[in-house]
Amino acid sequence: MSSGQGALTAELEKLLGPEAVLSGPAAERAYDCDAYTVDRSKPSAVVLPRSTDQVAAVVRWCNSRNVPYTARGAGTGLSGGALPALGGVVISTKRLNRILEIDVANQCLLAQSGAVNRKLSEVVRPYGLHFAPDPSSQTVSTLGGNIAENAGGPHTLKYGVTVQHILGVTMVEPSGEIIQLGGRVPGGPGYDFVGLVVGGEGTLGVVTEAWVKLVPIPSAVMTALVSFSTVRQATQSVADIIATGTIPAALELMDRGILNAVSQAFKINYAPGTEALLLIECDSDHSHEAMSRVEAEMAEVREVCERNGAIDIRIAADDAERAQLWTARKKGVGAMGRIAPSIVTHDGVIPRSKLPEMLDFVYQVAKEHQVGVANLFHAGDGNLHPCFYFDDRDPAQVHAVVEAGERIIRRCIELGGSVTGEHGIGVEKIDLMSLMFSIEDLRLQADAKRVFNDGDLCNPCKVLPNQKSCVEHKKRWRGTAW
Amino acid sequence: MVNWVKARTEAEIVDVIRAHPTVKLVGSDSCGTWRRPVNASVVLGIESCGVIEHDVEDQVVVVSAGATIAEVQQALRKRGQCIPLGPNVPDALDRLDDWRGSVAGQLSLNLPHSLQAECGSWRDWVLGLTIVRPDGTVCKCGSKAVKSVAGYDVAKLFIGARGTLGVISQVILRTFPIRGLPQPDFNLGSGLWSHAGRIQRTLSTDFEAARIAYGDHLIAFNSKGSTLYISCDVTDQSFRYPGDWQLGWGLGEANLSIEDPTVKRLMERTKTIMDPSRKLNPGEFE
Repeated sequence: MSSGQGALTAELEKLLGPEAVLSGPAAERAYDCDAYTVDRSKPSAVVLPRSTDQVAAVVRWCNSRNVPYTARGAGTGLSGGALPALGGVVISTKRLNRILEIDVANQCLLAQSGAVNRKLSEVVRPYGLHFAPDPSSQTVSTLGGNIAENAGGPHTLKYGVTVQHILGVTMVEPSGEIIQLGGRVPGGPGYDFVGLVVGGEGTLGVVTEAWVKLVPIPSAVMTALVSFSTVRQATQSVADIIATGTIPAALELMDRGILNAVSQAFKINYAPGTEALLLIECDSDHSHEAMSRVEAEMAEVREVCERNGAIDIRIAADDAERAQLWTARKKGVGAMGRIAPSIVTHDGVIPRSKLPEMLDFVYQVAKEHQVGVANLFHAGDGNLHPCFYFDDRDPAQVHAVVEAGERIIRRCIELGGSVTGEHGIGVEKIDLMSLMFSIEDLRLQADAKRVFNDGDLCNPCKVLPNQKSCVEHKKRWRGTAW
Repeated sequence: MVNWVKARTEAEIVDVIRAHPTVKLVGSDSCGTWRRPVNASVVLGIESCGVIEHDVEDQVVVVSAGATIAEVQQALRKRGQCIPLGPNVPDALDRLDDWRGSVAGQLSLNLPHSLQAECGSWRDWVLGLTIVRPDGTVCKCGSKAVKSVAGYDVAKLFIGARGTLGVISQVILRTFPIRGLPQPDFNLGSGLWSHAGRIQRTLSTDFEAARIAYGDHLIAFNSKGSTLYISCDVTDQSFRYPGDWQLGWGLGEANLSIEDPTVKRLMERTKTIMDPSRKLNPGEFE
């Protein structure tokens, strides 16, 4: 540890107590990246505050010493949002993990930003409520991280993304001031600052608490796993289901690549000839007629799938079978480890109507670059996650994966979509922002950022390109690497 | 004497913005009663260019800022879709097809509506905007993607901003199936609709007490959204509840008051950054 770093650590220990400060090689290694592992940058120190006041004290200290800082939840972010790009202090919300107030009657809850997503639902389950945003990382990702990235998940299609479930936040501004935005009563006159902060990728301040909206747990749920012999049949079914006016709670697509991995990992078999699966969930909370509504929706879904040539339709008989049907979706990416040493999971969005041609393009690109690909989609939203699998010990394969990933994301923009549906820009896609937005568009975004952050200490080098002192992104690959 | 100008195209909007030191933006001028007094050297109305593009399969529609709600809903209804906007005034229940408020004007006011609890509001439906900034430059925020986290969601700032940060020239919206749309929850109270009054939203746990307390001063209410419409003879500080908020119609300066000092400070900062010369709708929030 350098003497400068030693002095920094000593000052932080004096501020928060030694038990709240980590430094040295082990801390540097543990906090030098999030789940986007290709870019790493060592922090000078890591702090674990227990309160909003302590977070504010750290931010003010950083301001006084001109030290950059980066908030970090569980570190499951997939675009480098928690990467301490210019070093400095990582502010971990690990100890800001309490549920502070549960207001059942008003269907909301106040939690610290380090509270785990899944835990929010668990504590209110006895009241028949849950926190709807369900990213795949929900068993570990934190409320603050979900807010920073405006997290989605499979049930986004019906229930919306995180911003639609955040009523208010307590945030430490980059000035060091503690502010409260929004509150339990939604709406209200004035500018929607909560809407700007959610999805701000931790660059507008450090959120320490949030009032979240709770929704009733559906009283009726039906889950179907539908097998198709071609991917086109599956994508056409997606389009046709949406066209009926039904909004399923979840509508996920997985191709043969994912199924192979899941079959190997979990010994699950699918109908012979299956090239694509649709996982479709319908639900309702209209208590006295919920089941008949759900049955009617599922009947309509079934009819669409059969019309498009479904070769097998399994409907879960109970919760245990429902969990089993979800296995391919929830464990598909992890199971990819069975078939290759490395995988990269991308994140892009295209209009739903472009699903068939986009999938064709993904397969074509993979073939041209001679890399393996498996596809996992939030098909209802057009949010794709192509997973390239390869051996990163072979530089030629790494190069091929980089090139293939770039082509996929560029194609998303060409088709009228977005460079990211839920992983965020972070550092990963910062140089793609200019493909989607003009200079004037980016100036508008920069002005919006200035409302809260007019400096360069709060989570620098994220979201907007051309920030000062930020090194050029190391172009290894896009997406999450495993 | 103040000039009135109508703009139809983005280029015309730019010309007006660049030519005048202050601009009162009125859109279709259907909701003046909800606003605070604004004095400007020109009054700018936005004419409709209707629906620009409707991707039926993707459930996305692009509309000109001046397109009326009625125009848009009629176009969407032909394909079984809609914007799930419920009535927000008692007499609107019978004239939803004649709603002449413009899309940009409605989202700029962002008034509560009677389907809000079930279907959300403009902040949930707007995917992107094209904005003419006070200096006349044109830019976009958001996109047609129904789900995107690319950059800051600046569109959120413009919803409810009452035209104080930029002039909206185009709106991208997600649409919804008409099928399964709930009935608007909008009930009349014993009070008469008045030229002036207030909307008040409370926590749901305070709503029933408020509804009863207002008695004959209650014009209408939306139970699911915990929203009350109260006649103007109730003084501002009566029957207030923790966390609630109010905004008015027909009360001039008193239509709107931002009470939270933090929000006031941030709004002032936003205005200074986005409209440093204070060109657009001066006085709308001050």
